[in-house]
Amino acid sequence: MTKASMTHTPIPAIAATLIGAILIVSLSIFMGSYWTVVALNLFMWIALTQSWSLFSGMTGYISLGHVVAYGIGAYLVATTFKIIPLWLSIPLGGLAAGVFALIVAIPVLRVRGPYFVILTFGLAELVKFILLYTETTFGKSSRLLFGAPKTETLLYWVAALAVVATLITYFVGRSRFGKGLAAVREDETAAETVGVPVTRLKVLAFAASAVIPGMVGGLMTMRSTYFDVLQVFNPTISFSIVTMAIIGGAGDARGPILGALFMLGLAELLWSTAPQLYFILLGLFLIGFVLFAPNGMIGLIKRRKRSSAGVAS
Amino acid sequence: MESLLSGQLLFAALVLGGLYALIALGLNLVYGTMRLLNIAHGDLLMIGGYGAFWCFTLTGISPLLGLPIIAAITAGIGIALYFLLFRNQLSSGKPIPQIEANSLLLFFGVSVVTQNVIALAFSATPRAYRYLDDVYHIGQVAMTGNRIATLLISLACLISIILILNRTMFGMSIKALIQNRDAARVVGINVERVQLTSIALGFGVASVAGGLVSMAEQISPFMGFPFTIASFVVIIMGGLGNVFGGILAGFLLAFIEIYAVALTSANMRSILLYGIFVAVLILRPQGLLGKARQS
Amino acid sequence: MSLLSIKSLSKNFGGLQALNEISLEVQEGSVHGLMGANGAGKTTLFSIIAGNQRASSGSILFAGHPIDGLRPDQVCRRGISRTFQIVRPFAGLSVRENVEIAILYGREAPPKVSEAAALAQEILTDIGLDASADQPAGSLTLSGRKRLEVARALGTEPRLLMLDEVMAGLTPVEVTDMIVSLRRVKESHGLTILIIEHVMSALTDMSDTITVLHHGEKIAQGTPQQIADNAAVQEAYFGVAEPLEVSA
Repeated sequence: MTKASMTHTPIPAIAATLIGAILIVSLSIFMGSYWTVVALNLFMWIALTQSWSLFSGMTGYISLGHVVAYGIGAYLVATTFKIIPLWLSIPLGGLAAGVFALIVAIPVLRVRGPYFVILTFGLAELVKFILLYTETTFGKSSRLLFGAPKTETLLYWVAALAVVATLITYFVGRSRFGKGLAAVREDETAAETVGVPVTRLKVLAFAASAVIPGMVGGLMTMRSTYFDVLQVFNPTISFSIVTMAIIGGAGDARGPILGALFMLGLAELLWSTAPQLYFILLGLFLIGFVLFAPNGMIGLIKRRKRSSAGVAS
Repeated sequence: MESLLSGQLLFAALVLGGLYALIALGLNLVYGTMRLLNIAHGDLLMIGGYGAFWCFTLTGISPLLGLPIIAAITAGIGIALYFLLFRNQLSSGKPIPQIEANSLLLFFGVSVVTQNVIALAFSATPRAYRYLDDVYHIGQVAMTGNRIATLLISLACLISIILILNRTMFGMSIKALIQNRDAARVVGINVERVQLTSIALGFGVASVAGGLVSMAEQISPFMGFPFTIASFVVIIMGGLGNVFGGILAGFLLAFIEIYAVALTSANMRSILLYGIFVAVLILRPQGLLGKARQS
Repeated sequence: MSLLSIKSLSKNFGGLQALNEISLEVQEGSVHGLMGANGAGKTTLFSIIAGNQRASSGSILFAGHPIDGLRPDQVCRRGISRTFQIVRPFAGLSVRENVEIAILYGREAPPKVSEAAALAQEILTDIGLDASADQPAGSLTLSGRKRLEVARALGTEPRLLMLDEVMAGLTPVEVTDMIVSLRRVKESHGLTILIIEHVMSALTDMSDTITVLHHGEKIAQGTPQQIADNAAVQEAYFGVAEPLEVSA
């Protein structure tokens, strides 16, 4: 198996990602506005979860505060709306999220294990309440954003970000950088002893994993046509990201896609009729996967493949 | 400035401190004996709040009298979760960091499920009832009956738990388990029974705190989270697994919170809470008041 | 000429003096043994050289340049690699990937990612682990894990290899195999070796020079035979002055 994967060229994976994305985009636009929104949500979750996976999946530091990047991007785009053009403010939103991650990275990444998990959560909430306080102090508890781009336009952008995020996760997994991150995940002391600059790698991955969520946040706030701190910093977003990554399986670029498809399917079935039931099932699936399939759907598929290969040979 | 010295703030801080100490104590017992990070802890409070609400509005029975029943129900939930989710994890011989991380994810799932089951059953609309809300004056200080009751009951619970921990064989075995699992097993402590009792006790006192909170504040399915965070702040300040440090830290956090909000504004409350949380984790993950146990 | 030169190195943990004014020269191309009872300070010395811990005072020169204060990954790229007494494999990765990571990060001039696997395979062949290359490292036996520690250290292309009890817990046959492998890689890679070992026959067998530490102090240094005859060493080890049996 490993020998075969060593000789893999990346071309089929790139082609499959691109063709898949183009198909979904064109099909959803053809099927009308409802499905355009569904596709937009799908790509949003893929982009967010792939970015999360770039850091948390590879290093094993589970971030429960990824919404902070999304929120910062959204905040920057909303506050500069009609002042800075979107083609500039959206990348700036990504940049701001990345810079924020870079600034907090050193102290935050010294904290390990479960303390890191709750710390990231607390940090995201802290940023949320600080911005909320600032907004209320300036009397801007929510901002209406008139004249936002059409859903189709947003779909193109978010789909492009999902593709980029997927390819980044895929290529980093095969790169020197990715192997270094895997070493960090397994044992930091051993990693630095064989020459891995542990802190630098962690900081880089942490900052990089915030950039795309920042841009996605900027785009999605255009979709909702108004900006509200409590909505774009909603911890449910972080929760959903982690749940999708665990259900789909982290550490493999296909995992977040499976996770996002699964969650969106569940949402399609239940969201409009029984939102609570949707969350209940999501929580139960999270528990089930942690207990019985810690490597997620992708892990189950690989195990199935391996055992059937074992039977065949 | 004068108002800062008044008994009014002192009373508020004591009431809140008693609650924080009680809530955090439950979290600490569960973490200390099993290394489970219960991020659904605040939701037990919420369940306790709903229990007291229905007890009072449906039957007219005093929520205070309903507290033992509510505690028994959540203790039962704790025992059920122990068998359903954690028993295998704990006996699997997995490294402790992995048990901690898994417990966090599992309780996260439990939290989401609990909140939404309650929202589905009772709707997400906040609810409230009036009970013991007569105002008493002691000197310059005005206190409602329910807050006095809250303070007295949380102190009574804290004192009895401290006595149990210090004076009974069972309390000793809890403390031994917190200190060192393997050694506790070697000296003949029935680890499973201690763990079961700890989770039952921890879950039980959380819902008692919830019942107390519901007398003075609105309840809703999503009210638990700030309490989860507050109790994490408290047990991290007090040293994870350090029961007495946690009690002190509970009062400390309440005093900081009440007086800082009095000096600034109510909008600062969340910033303050999360600010302390982040600062404590970054600066002293081993706790302010006590040494963390060696992992 | 000495490759590693340690001058008056001290380390205290609180009140405990783990190392006291240790000076040591490790000659290029030699095998230098470190001997001493548990708690003598051998592993602490390794950790300080490798950058895992900081010395309280003293200096370390490697190939003429000071290396104290460098991070472990920087020390590694300068050409010093260590193994851990309690093995620390990247358990979830394959044996080959373990070595690939060392190759990709531990060298001053790392090869391309596409070449790392083949280089790793060569090292695994050298050390006798080639058959397990695709296995997860966590599934290796103790002997396999000890070998993997050495293979991973070799992956970083060190000039100085520091081995911390790589033979502890091995059967006599495995010890003999390990000595043969170590001799082979020492020649083929042109290594200098600093070795901590409790298996006395292996230590005396391999070392050109042995330094003895006792309670953080250096109490003797010499050839294996000189050490065996040294009264201070007898005293420290057995409490009586009686010559040690030296094999080989």
